[in-house]
Amino acid sequence: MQPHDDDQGDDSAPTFPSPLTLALTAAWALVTFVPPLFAHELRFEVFGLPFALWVAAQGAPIVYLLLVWVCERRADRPQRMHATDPDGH
Amino acid sequence: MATEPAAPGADAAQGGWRAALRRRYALYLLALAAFTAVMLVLEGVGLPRAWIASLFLLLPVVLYASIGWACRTSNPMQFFVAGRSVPAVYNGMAIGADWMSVASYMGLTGLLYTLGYGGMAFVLGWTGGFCLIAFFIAPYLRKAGLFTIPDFLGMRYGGWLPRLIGLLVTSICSLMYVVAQIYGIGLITSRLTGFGFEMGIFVGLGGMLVCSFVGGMRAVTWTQVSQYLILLIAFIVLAVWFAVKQTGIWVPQMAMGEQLQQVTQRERELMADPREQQVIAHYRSEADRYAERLRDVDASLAQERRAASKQVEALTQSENLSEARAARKALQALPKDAPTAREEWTRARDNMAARAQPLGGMLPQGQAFGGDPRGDAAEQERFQASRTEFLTLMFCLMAGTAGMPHLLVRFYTTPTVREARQSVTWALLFIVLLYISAPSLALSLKHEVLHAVVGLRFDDLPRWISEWSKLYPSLVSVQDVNGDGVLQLGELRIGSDLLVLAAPEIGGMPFVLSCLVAAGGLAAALSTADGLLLTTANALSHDLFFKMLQRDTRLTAQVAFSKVALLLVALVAAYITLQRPTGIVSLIVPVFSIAAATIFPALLLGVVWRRANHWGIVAGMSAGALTTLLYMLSRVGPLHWAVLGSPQPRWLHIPPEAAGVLGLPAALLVAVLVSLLTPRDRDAEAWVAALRRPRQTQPGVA
Repeated sequence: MQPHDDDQGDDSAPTFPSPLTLALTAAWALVTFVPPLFAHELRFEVFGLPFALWVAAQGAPIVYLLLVWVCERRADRPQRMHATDPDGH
Repeated sequence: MATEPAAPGADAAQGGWRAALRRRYALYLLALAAFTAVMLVLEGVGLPRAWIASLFLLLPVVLYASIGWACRTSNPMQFFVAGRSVPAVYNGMAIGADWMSVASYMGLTGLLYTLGYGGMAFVLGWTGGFCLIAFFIAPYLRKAGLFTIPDFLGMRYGGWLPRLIGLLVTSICSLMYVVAQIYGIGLITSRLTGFGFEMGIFVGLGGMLVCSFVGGMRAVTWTQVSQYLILLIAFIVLAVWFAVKQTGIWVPQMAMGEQLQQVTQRERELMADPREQQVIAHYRSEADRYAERLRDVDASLAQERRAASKQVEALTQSENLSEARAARKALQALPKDAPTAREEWTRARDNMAARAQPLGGMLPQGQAFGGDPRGDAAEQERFQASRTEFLTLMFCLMAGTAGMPHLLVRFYTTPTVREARQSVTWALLFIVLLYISAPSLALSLKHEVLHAVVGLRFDDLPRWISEWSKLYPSLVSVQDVNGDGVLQLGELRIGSDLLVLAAPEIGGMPFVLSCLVAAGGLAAALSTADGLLLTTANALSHDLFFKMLQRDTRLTAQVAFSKVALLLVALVAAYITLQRPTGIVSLIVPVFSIAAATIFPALLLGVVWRRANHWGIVAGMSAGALTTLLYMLSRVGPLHWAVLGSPQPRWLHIPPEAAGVLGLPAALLVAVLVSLLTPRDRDAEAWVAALRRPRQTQPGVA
């Protein structure tokens, strides 16, 4: 169960999933699960809305968008996954 | 053909083609604005409403059909994956339209209105799933460069079983999903035109078949872009109108704080209102009456029958014909045997008990969950149940999103892996625009109903209540329960599916805006239905007919077979819809659970864990599907009444539609165990390694 050890060692194989992906996934889980779990305890307001309500209505969707954007930017930079069709169409 | 794209790689031609695309859609937006303006003027001049409505529904359908016709193709690459030539931005919009169905456009706002914070599980679920897609799925799907989702499973895991399971899940999910869309089409067209529900279904069906039938993925893509634009504009106009009307703030998201404050205050007033208490007391006694009957079903049924026939006799003898007929009808309407009676009365008791709650059974908008974690045992239990329901539902919707075939196939259509990644960002942006407006619109509608509708006298209720309740008595109903001639919140019932459609009338907007909103709903339904139909038909054609039954046949024959499959699937879906399903969201959520427990784990393991092999995934997907279906069917649906007698209690408060939360871990666990117990598959592992390896465009850059 060690997915990060690539058989073809010649290809400077990056670890998989990359640390970045793991960090982004952790951020995703944090934004997703913590506010609903502690909705009752987090009793302060953001823009006039209870915190958990604001996170769900606006905060989390915007954070998701940022995470996806960061993932796309960072994946593009070091190694462009620039594939053409493997089956030659 | 005018929209023939250049081959990917021919950069200059691509650039010219992209500029032409931009010009065309800019022109389309202008035309849409001009059309709406002309209609507003004509409404002012006094053009009959029926004309405006028909123009607003027919012209877009004609437009979609002509885009479809202009993009007609029988080239397999074009038909299955739009020639892999869709730029990221446009793929983002197409995904947006594909994704935002009537469930997002109509259902979501209604849920947020009735459930308050509880409905946010859908906002989070349907946006958060895109993170999983971006991190683990979309780029790898595109790199594999195949045609369908079962195709990916077949290539990754080898053999025909994974492909077959993938195909089954794809077909079942898409079929149920498409039924919800056709139901939405029926609602929209029957309200706006004189057509009945059935006729509306067939008009809508015709519109969507022209697109997907003649042009496949290519036609569907370019229609979806135009459908996205119209549905987003209609929704935003609605949200902004209410925000400005109620608070004077032009950004609906920023108006929510003020609206919530006013809504909360009004909710407090209503909870203390003695007339609302009377309504609650009435429903409480009704619930008790059914509970009493349920104590001994056989005896109560016999007694009900005796009483009813006695009344029929008495009325027949007194020659009061109309009342006698009514009494006879009532007698016939009694449940025919004890099991039916038990089912009907249980449902009636639960309905009445739900309505015997403050605020008509709705939680205050600002409150996160029902119950109180610091209250007594029953309150704590309610709080736990409410929170668990939220979390499990949200999780199922997210994982289901990342395993939804009709969404995922869109990532095959971009020219490069890079653009597949970019299109996830664009898609999420385009989707979030609507999803962060929905909570605001829901709050506005609550504000409007609590302040402007509740408290009206029954003689001067607004027109939309009478019109909608005539068309769909099950969706809108008012009843003066306490006989004071004034509408209480508890006496008004609005089905969540039609809130958005009725919103322009609730807000007192011009009729043209009602039509625009309906046209947006139609665009949402048609675009998703097109994507779903095509996904199912292509999977049936490519995977079943050609990969599994007869391996090497001409690709053009695949297209022909796919078109036949398309027609058949559409007809089956229309037939199911004619049986009048119960509601949009209740049809769709189980689909997410099933996808979350089968396709999502198969794709995730397929990319993340090379060791996952054929038998592992076959066992895993089967275990996931079985766990999900068993949990669901033992708690809802006709099965449990026939087989088990009564529904099983929830396990750990997990609602039946969120059964995927059990199915997904079951699938992963079984897949891992079986994979480890069966031999390694070196070929598959090499395939995955190649899938993950980024291809370098600049030599020397490691």
